Amino acid sequence: MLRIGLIGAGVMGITHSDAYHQVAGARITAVCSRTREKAQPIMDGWGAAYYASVDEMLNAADIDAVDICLPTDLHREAVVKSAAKGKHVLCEKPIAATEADAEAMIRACRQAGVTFMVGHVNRFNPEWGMARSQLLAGRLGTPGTVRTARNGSMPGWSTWFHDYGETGTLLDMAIHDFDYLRWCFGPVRRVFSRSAGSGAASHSLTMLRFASGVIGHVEASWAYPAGTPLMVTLEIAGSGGVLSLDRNQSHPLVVFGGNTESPPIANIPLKKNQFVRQLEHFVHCANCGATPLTSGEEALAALRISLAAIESVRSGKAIVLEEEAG
Amino acid sequence: MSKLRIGILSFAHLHAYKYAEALLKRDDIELVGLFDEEDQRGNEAAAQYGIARMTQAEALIEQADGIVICSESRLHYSYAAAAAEAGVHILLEKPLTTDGADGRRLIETCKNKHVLLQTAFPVRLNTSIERARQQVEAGVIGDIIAVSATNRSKMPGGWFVDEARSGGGSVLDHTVHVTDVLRWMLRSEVATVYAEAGTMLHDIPVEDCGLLSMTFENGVVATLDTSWSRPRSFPVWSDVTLKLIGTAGALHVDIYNQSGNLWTNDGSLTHERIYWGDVANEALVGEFIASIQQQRTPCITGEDGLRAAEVAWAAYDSIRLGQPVAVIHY
Repeated sequence: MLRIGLIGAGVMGITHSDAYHQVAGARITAVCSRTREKAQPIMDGWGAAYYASVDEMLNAADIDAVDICLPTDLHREAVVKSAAKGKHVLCEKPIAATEADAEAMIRACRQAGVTFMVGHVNRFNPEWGMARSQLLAGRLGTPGTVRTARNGSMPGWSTWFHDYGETGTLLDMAIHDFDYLRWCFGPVRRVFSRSAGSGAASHSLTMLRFASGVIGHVEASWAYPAGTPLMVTLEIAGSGGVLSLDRNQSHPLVVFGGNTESPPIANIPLKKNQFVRQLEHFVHCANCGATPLTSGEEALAALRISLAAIESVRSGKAIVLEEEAG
Repeated sequence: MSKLRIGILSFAHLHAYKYAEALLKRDDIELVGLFDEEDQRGNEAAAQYGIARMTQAEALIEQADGIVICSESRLHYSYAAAAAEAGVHILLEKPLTTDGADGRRLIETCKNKHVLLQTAFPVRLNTSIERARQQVEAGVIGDIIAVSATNRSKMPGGWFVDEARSGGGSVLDHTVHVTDVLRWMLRSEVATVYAEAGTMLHDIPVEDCGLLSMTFENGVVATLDTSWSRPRSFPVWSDVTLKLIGTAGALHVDIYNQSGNLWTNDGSLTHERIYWGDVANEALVGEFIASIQQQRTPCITGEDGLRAAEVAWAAYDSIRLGQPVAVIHY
């Protein structure tokens, strides 16, 4: 039984907690949050202990692993401290806001010999997995263009997203797609991006040229009016065909009326949703020592694309990325 | 008023058939004939529409008050210049010309000869596009800050993939419509262009994948996918989609998303989407006729055609340089 210390009790902390209930071989035994009231429902669900700080939890709790669901700027400290205490680490995406932070986190986990996985949950989403399977099976022939969009309004559940400023959509949203597309199409050679809007409520339009020649368009937005549902689409066009996904056109279940509020993270009708699948993979890797699919190194590679896009927005230039090793 | 005499100069571009059908629906014009460089194509079109086929372009121009030019793109200038010199009004398939200096010269000739020159940008006359512009003008979404657009189609083949006849591949083919619509909606010119392109999907000598990032003089940023990336079984020939992001809201346009689904027993595991909305090609031809009748400038001018083509040419410069470039105005 992998004993998990959950760090952060916001929307992602709750989402992970809900998912752990379906994960065999893991249980949350400790919850860390500055505000006890936020942690309470999670603690009640698990009979877990409460800790007000990461240090306190790492010193006192009986845990084997931590699941870090904190704002991005707090990731490095929590990961490095947890690794130093020998805890396996799952950390929400983006891994960090700078390469130096990400590299320090990877180094700390490697030195401690613990599993380090980053929550690029897209890779565990069966919808996106299907698209990759079709691509790899050759159903689309040679891919030529790929387009993704991840558009909506500013997340209403927490204010820290505003702290990203103008880089938010590239660092927090588009990075999902950068990671997924790199997984599907290999390394990116050139990045060009433009962004408009006020502060974090911006609309970014990023062009990727992969080493394979594939041309990518990654759109990410928090510029839509409040209340707009998140719109997520993917389209791959190849010499053999086109595959497209549109979450907002995919409605196996529609509820009218009733008194339930729609959750901030959509709960797709699946026996095991993408979060359960992601956590199962983490538990598996922590137990057997396998390298996670979404390792720190993979997350760093995605971060580099985000940072290149940000640099392109600021400089107005196309940014050529260093060739990835291996 | 006597009926206007209209001729169609070449059926090389398939839009000629759409324009012919739209013209034949009208009772205020006479379709006086056609000219086509190719015997078979010309004879078949003449038989299909029951009109005369002239063996010389000049003969058609001589008999017409206005002509619709749907030739291969590289021939646009010479045909249009001949019509302009003869004082015959022109509806010219896009791109206006394949060379900037030619485009400017044509516009000047038309001005000097008092000839009306309309570029065939039917997308601007699509009812959903018109409605979107009205909403933008009314301030429904505030000030536009960003646009994500696509204008993609199946691979046209034929002379389209021969640069010597078409002037370029999918980037030239599909940059101009959306650029025209955006210039019109934003009331601003494209300032800079960055583009990526490649031949990825088909065994052809021109690019079939293209992606542009543009800035407008008013600061708006926009991207446009121009690829010939729709497979043969795709339920429509092409798409035009716009996501207009404003300071007070957003507006999505998908102009052909006004269609019914048709499944048949033909055996292939797919279906067709049958469009039932307003036909923009009829509005395009109608505007050409109306501008001649009323002796006024058409709503889409040669200048508009040139401005849009300049953006495509800038895209090719950017592709060569690997960096954004300023749009050159001719």
